[in-house]
Amino acid sequence: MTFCYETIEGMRGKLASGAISSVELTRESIDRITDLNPSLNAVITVNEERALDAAAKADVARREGNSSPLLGIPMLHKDIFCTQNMPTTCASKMLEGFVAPYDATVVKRLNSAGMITLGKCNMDEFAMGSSNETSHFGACKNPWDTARVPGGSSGGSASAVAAGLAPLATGTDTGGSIRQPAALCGITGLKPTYGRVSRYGMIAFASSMDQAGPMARTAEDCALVLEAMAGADPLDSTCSDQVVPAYSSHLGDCVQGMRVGVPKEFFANDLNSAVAETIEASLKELEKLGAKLVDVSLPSTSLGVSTYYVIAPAEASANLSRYDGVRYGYRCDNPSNLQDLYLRSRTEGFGEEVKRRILIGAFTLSAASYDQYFMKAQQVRRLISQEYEDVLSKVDVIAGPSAPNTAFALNDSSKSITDMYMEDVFTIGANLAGLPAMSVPAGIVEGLPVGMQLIGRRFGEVDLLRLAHQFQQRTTWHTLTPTMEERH
Amino acid sequence: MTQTTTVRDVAELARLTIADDDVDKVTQEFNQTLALFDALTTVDTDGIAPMVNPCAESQPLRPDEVKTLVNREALMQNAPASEQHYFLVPRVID
Amino acid sequence: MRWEKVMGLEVHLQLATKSKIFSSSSTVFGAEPNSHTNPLDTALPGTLPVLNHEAVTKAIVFGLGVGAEIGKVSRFDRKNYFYPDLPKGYQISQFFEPIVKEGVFDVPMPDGSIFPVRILRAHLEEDAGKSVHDAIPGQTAIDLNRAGTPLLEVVTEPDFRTADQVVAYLKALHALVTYLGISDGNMAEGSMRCDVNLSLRLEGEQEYGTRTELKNINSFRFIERAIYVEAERQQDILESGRAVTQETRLFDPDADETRSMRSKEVANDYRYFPDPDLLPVVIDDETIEKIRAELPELPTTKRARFSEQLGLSQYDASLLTQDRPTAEFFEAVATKCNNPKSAANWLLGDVSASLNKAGIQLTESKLLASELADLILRIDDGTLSSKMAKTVFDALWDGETNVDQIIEQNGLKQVSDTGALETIVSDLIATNPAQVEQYRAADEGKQKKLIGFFVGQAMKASKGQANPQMLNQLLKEKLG
Repeated sequence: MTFCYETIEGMRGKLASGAISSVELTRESIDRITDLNPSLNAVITVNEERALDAAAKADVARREGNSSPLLGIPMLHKDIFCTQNMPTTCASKMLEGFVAPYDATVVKRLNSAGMITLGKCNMDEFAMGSSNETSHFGACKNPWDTARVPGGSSGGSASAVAAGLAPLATGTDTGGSIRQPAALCGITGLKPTYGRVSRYGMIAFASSMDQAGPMARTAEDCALVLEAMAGADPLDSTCSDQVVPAYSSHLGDCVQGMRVGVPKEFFANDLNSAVAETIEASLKELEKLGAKLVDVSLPSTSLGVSTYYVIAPAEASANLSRYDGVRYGYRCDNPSNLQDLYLRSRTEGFGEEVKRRILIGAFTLSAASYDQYFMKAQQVRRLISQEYEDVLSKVDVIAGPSAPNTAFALNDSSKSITDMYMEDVFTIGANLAGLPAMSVPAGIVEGLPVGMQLIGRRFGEVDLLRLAHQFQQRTTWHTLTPTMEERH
Repeated sequence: MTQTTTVRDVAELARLTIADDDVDKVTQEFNQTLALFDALTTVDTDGIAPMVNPCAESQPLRPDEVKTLVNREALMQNAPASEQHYFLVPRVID
Repeated sequence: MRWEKVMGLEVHLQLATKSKIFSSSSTVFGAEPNSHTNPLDTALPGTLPVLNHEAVTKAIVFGLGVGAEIGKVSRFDRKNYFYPDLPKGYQISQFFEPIVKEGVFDVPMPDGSIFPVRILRAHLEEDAGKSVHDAIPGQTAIDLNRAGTPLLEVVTEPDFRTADQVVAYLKALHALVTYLGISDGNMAEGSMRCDVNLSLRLEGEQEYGTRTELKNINSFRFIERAIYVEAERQQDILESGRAVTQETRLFDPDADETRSMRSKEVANDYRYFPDPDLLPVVIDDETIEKIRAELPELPTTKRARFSEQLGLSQYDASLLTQDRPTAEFFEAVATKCNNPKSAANWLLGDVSASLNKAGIQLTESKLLASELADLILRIDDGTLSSKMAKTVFDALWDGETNVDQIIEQNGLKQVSDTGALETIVSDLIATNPAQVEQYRAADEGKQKKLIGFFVGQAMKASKGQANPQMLNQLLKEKLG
């Protein structure tokens, strides 16, 4: 019997009943990774010995009475979270072999909750991308069609969960990097409110938008994990000390009368018509749950991508200045002087997309451009944010597609750089405004998953999770799994 | 539209080298992205305060206490070049 | 053509907090390289800054000390540039909205006048690490112990016209910050670093000339010299019809010249932008008032009080208020012995000389304020002559503690008993008829010298304990 597509909640039950042990679950995950990763390239690092050791300890703890919901459940971390016991590469040559001397807060908390870390997932280099094709360790494949991308930047995490390598992988979302890959891979992903989860130890891309979140099979699983991840951290000034609700206890709360706003701009020209239909069908399901659909407007939707691509690369250009070959990370051979050290280490260590973004970022911050680009974008950001706030004062949740298309082909040379940026058109608003947002599986179009996006008010994860959970009780999209050829 | 020299200047600021062969391509990509920003110029932002991050709170203050989170050896374990507990770079003449 | 120097100062003060501004590492100086560091100080990936409460308090204290407006909402910004002692590749500073805004700092000049300096702003920022160029051959060694130490950068308007004013300002600033307990303010040790922006213009002109920045000069003497040398250099340039280049320069004391800083030649666009990892620092009135209420008395107030209420000269008051330990010591002595003038004289005289000789600070000496006060009391009540007082002082200096005991044990009590003195004088007169004769025959001027013989003999006879004033008076009476 295989447990690879079991949910966390399902595994918990079976662990509690003794039907299976953590060691067995962990063993199965590791075997599955060995089997499938060569064709998926979802996982960069695996630490088998440590994981089995931790699993054995978890089994003992359970026998001794520890009944924590996440105890002994295997999981993977996006390779952006610092882990003391295995390398953290950010899928970059710049950090190849880098071993952090400390754990990210997210890692610490999930370790404390008893989760078993199997290894680190592939991603777009330094979280910059929407297809996981910018990784230094090679592209990651979508388990639904290995000629297609899993989405990005948390492509490895999405692919791994979709393929049943583990029931949970952590991801990060700066412009849609949890939601878009979750949608393309048919799994459930949550980007919490900015400030809900600590960013300490999470390698920074765009500091004012980065958020860590769970990628799993169900909203219920996301709720369980968010409870363990979220909350105040004295090491992160932007991490809120607002009380963390017991999300998993509120999943059954009433959704009757919940107002769901549907922005007309989300259903404009750039949306694939089959995807549009699928989303519309899902919206009807929400109505059947008792939610009330309300037409709303987010006129600044078309400005989101421009705004984001000024701000995120600008913040990134400064965040990535520390990669200079001096204290850690890639250093070029035989630097002849200091400037040579900087220039060659950085030029050789970073991939093309990263360098592109650093250039654009440095440019928009430069004296002659600051007012016109950077400050302007920050002003537009406030307008977009206010727009969302206004709409969310009239509705409880906003719903729409997570991505404009289903998974596209790998190495699609017809896609320009800016085409790639447009992948984020629906997801970016929530990052700019700091709002929580989820993607839940909503259908299949030509054999490929489609995700529905739900966006809530700041610290409104409770609303999102219960609506998503009850949607998942009525639908079965989240239970579908890809058919993959397994090597034996 | 930006000229080649500006892209090189920006690259220098960011300590990146653009190979001669790549300059045109990089400049083109750069300009493509810049074009994306044109949409912003049409927005009326008079009197709108720039938004730095979504947090509504003010900066929390930390008590003035000494704590060592990680020891020196661990902090320097990834150093490409170090000696006598210093990080090393090629000699800089001021 | 008469040229006028126009100068503004940027002083970086290392704040005396226990831990760094954004990390919890120790700020203690002199540790082994890279041993006072945490992941944030070495800019490891994923690390984040969290602001030190005490750095904020000290900045507010400074602001109140110069009567400045406190920025109720201030922000941090990133200043981007590459240098090995700047691990993140940017310095967290306050560019757009500083924590301390405009104020005026009254600087006491040596001649007693007050020179008001307009403070433009003071802001918090983090210090860089240290580059050591000669530890390892062919390499520059980076020590990040200092990286992240809190700095307060104090910027003035270009109000200075002379080197004297600059030096007076720096001295007063040192006094202020040590009084307030916010910094050691020590130029030689680097806890106070001064950059001078200097330009010239013709006297009477309103517009400012092109300025150069003289960086990191670490003594008053060097500052005076650097200003002089740079002003001369600029004058030569301007008088030959050329233009001064705006740049940063270092002062080379050995070559007695200023030099352009090569490493800063590459045009630097710092690309300042608000740091998204830090939230706005919000300071309410209640906090400000609470800090204001707990401020120690400022040097200017103390100085005024010492001269107005205690009757000291402006000069003495200035010297005594240069640092807080001296001022408090003085006040404790003056209060106990009720003789401020004497207390001042002792402190500025014998105490100062002894400190210099031993090369120590007042706080390091064995002398206590109460002991010095006791000494003065015993002089004032006639128990001790000034000569004997010095002996007692030496004993106190060496660590003895009870003035009365010292007097007793050493038999230092002054003989002021008129009876005993009369006996001594009468004896002297009787046994030295020739000298008496000589004295009586001499003119007033010579008498002043000749009396010395009798004084000396009387002192011998009394084992040095005769009260000199009384003795003199008696001799004059008896000798005629």
